[in-house]
Amino acid sequence: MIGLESAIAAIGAGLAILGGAIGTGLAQEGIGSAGMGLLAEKPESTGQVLLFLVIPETLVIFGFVIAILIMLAAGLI
Amino acid sequence: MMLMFETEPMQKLRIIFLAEDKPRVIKALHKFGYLDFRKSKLSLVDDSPLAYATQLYELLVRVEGALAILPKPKKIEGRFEHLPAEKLVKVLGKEKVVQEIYDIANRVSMLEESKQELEEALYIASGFSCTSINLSRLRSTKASIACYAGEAKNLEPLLASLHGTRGIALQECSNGKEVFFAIASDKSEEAEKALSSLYSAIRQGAAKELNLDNKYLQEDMQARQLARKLKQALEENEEERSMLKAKLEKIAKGHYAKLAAYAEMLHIELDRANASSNFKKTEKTSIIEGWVPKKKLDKLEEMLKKETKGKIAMEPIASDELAPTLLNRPKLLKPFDFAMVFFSPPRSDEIDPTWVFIFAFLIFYGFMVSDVGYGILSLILATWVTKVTNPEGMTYNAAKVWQLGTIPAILFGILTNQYFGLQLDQYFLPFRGIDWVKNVTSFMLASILLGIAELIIGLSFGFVNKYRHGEKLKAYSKLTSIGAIVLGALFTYGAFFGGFEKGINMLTGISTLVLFVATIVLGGSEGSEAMSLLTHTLSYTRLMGFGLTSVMIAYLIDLAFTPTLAHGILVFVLLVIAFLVLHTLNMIVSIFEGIVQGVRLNIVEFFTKFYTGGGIVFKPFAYKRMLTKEEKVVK
Repeated sequence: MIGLESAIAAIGAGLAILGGAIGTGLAQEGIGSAGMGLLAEKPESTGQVLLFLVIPETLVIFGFVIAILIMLAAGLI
Repeated sequence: MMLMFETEPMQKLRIIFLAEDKPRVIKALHKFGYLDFRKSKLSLVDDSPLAYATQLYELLVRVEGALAILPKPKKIEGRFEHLPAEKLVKVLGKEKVVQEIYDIANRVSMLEESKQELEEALYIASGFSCTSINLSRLRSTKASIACYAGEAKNLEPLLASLHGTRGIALQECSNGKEVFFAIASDKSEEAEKALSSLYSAIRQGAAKELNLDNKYLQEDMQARQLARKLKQALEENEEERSMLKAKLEKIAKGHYAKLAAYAEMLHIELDRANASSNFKKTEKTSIIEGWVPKKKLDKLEEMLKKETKGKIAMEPIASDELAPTLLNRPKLLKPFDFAMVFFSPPRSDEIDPTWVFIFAFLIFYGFMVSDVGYGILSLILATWVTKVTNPEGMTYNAAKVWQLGTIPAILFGILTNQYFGLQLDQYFLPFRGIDWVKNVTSFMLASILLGIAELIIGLSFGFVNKYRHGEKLKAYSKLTSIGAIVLGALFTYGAFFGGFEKGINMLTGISTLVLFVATIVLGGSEGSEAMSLLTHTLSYTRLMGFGLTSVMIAYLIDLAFTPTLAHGILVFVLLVIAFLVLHTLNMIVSIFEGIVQGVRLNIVEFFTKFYTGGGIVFKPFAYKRMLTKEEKVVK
């Protein structure tokens, strides 16, 4: 049986990832569409576009790290 | 040690020699391959390309045109002795095979044109073969006669209504699907009225008018006979084209390599002929300027003296101009040089981070993929890609980097006991490795430590770059950044993980704060870098994040889809398919993220601490022989 504290911690960990994922998604939406526009004109820029596209992934990584820390503190893992 | 992080030292040179020695000097420099020309700023007359350059261009266009006509053999092999320009012009002037190729190509192109016209004529003649029409006479009659073809089911009722109408002559022939008809009218009111519905349908696209001007329709015979004749002509046309194609294949087999070698020789000779447009000249001398790697200076001098019998002067020039960057790693690591040039080559006056990039990328990639099965499979795939792609291209170089990355992926896989998500100790090996799930904290700490190590290296490079360029305060801000990272890490360890006593934590905490403020103050316009110290350090936790994600997905695939015969053969087959497809997808995502994130950590987190980039790539006056070899020197 999971206690209330653990349940809240698990929800908190989920929210941390959710926030990061939404932030990353919103940022990638703009970069992705601009990148596609650039690639239509300059296909040789694929490398640079790909790189810019993954930059906002840091946000979801932070969410992931916070989630791990919450779960560690709550003894869930 | 520091030399590892320096680009090749360069020297700008001025070389002066007698004009009569020019062809020999150019040839020697071309062969030497270590001089990157720069236009001299001396106020002398510009030299011009050698006289025979135009002739060589004409020959090159002719030979390359012939090569483009020939079918390219799968393998082009052979080593042909290089012919100097004069001899090359003579030999190619006598070479009959080039003219033969052009003659065949012209004949093929003529036959292809005829084929199209023959097919059109055959279509029309076959369409009218059930009538007694002589198509050649239709154009010569005074009446207005036109021929059409269209869909039978739409046109047949309209044509049926015209039969027996006064002033209209109609001949039609239908094969069920398509109807061909020739129609003539005397332009009377009655005839025009009767034809109005048909013409309206034709205008709407129900039928197309047939071209009676086709030269193959002008034979004085009935359509049926003509169709037979055209069919035969078409067969003969096809036969002749096949024969010519076979002839071209035969020529390609015997001469392609030789012609490709001529093209290579012409390119080399043209490079040499055009080289002198980079020179300056006086009445009796020629002057070249350019960059040479310092370690090649002695060899260059020795070689030029030998060529000119000592009648040469070489002087180093002091220059403010940025020296070109030569990245010259061993063959195995060349793809990383390619990647650096693709991103932005280092300037010759800054630290070259390629060696750190190589090791860091390989470790990061291995960390994120960390699976023996995925490593071996991707090694096979990467090797295959390198076999089928062009060694000069982006795909080949990316595959080479990927191929090297599979080694750490396999090593990390062994260390963490991951084999397509399975752990071998469950079956037959006693070695348990470092379990990803049970050691999440350790992996997170390891990724942060790797990040700290790379950031410290980056900041140290930044210190050297800034110090060399006289920006001492900014250089010191790099040192305070290093201090802030190290002490910040110690403070985090002490305060959050109980690593040290309170007093020490207080000391490290306050010191971190002071160094952080110092970084902002000393950094000036670049002081905002201080803000990124924490985020960039944490960014490296993605190593653990992507590694764990890949392992967990593989684990879940094994849990849910490991094939078993317990539920019958059909379920077993479905499980095998799902198991393979899902592992393949997980492997693709894992590899893609491993490469992209591995590169990103280096470019975004590491390079931003010191790297300017935008260097000028060293482009020596050189050539690469594929099918030719140096000519024998006659003494």
